[in-house]
Amino acid sequence: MTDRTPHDPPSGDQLGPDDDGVRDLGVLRGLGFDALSGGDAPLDGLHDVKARAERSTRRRRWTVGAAAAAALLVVGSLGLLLASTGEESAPDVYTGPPAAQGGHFLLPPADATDVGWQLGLDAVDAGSDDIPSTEHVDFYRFEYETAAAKMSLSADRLGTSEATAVESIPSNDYYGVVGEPSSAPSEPANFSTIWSFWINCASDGAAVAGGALDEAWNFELRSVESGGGGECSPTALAPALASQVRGLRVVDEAEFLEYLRDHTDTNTLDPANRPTTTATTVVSTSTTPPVPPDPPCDAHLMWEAARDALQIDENDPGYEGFGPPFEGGYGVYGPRCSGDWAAASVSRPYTQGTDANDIFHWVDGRWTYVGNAGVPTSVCLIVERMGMPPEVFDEVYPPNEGIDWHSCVELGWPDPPPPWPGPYGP
Amino acid sequence: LEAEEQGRGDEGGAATPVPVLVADFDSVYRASYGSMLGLARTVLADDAGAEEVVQEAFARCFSKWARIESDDPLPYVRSAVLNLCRSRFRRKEPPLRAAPDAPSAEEDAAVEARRRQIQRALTELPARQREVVALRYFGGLSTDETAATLDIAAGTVKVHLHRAVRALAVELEELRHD
Repeated sequence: MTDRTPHDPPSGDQLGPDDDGVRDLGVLRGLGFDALSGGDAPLDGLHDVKARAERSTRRRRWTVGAAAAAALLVVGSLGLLLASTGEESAPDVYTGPPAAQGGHFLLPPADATDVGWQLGLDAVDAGSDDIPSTEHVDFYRFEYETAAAKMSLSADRLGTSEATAVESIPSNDYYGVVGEPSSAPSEPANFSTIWSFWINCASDGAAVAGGALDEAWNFELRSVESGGGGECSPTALAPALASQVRGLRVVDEAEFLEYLRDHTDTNTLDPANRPTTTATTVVSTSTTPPVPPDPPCDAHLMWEAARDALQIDENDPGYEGFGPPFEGGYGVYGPRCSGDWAAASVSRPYTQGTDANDIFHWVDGRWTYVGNAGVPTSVCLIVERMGMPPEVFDEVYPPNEGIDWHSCVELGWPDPPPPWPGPYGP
Repeated sequence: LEAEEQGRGDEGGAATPVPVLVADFDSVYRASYGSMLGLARTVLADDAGAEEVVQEAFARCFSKWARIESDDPLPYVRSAVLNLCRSRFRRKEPPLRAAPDAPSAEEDAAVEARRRQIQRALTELPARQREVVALRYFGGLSTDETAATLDIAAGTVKVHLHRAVRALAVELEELRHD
């Protein structure tokens, strides 16, 4: 093993695979990887750890009484779910956005209230074996409330399905982006079966793996058997998830779409505001549409969009343990606009402050929140699928400030992805 | 019995995991904090996020300590760290630009500068490569153990590790010249 100093890294052609990566690990050490090690634990670290654990324990104890009663409902619901899904046909591999093909979809429980839903794009890690960088993830997401819990439910085209008790999670967890609670968890949820559950599929559709955090904070990976001979598809995965989360309903596409239509007044990201939705198409076929003036590059208007899309409660002081948000408090900061697109920072408490480079799009007279251009995959999704012109992206998001859209090619997308059809597109 | 910390071994240059003979939580925490933080820093390439993940992982383990202390608890802690890193990755985009914080008085500025360089280089790697590096280097797992943990083939682990090392070497060389 060559012991190199951090200032003497090997060149690529000096490296080569060996039997057990011994040489590679030596190179890492030579590159100075020990600098990443944390050294000694912080002096107050143990106290902090135990305080966190105690807070979580108190939450769980609070819910035990109601959990017992809920268990009967769980058993009943599970039985109904299994009965309703017992005659599924062989699954189709999931290859498009949720509303663009058949299969089965998950809906919130029938008694859910305050249902908000969202269709959109999500980014996955690039370049791994099971999720290649060429994948785009179209997702649908619900946030809803039952008598027992406030929940987030999502599924995407890779077959990743997930349900999370958004108000049961500890204050310092990382689920803020998906389902930021609209209020502080003053009333602990009674959700007692599964705290978080997700199912991931290999890109070839053959392998299925899952993970779970249950009520006892188990965090070990679990193996999840899908129905349908191991194929990775909503048909296979939806029942698997539904069997784990109380009240979820497995429905077909028609019922799924009907449900969305019925809940349009409560959705949090109206698909009509998407750049290529059917609604947009109708507008474009009308006679001689006037050329609109540039929209106002107004942080307050963008904040309204971000606040609604991310369900931020401005009255919530934030959770204990979080640092203060951006110096000005909640809001949108530093918007940079180009035509009907903009990039800005959004400050909110649950993600430990302020997210930079959130993207907004002006549609039908108001700003809509598109997503966060924080990693290459997100940037590519926003540019290639959400219709943001690359040159505009360059303008509001200068390449020298971080990831630029040119990296999409570098990520290894061999073929241009199909155009985003819109959740209800033809 | 106290948790026993071995010095960093030289095999492969990886940071040797800390074997714990008897699982006293406080000892496990103190002995393995550094390697767990290294693991999280490698996967997340985000100092603040990594510290948060490690604290949260230990908190979750502490809540269940009675169940896991009879075994070697390190795999549980490691799984918790890794899963929380994944959750963080899935749920929140990592910060594009790390907040510039001044080096602490205790920390050597050169080490910190190198760490930032490495983390910057790590952001260019696919997440799976970072996981492999983290588990091999800071988790001290063998190729087979890493493969089992990530549910991929052993050969894939080797390929990921090699590609990651090669990319890091090139990237760090470029950063050195910036």
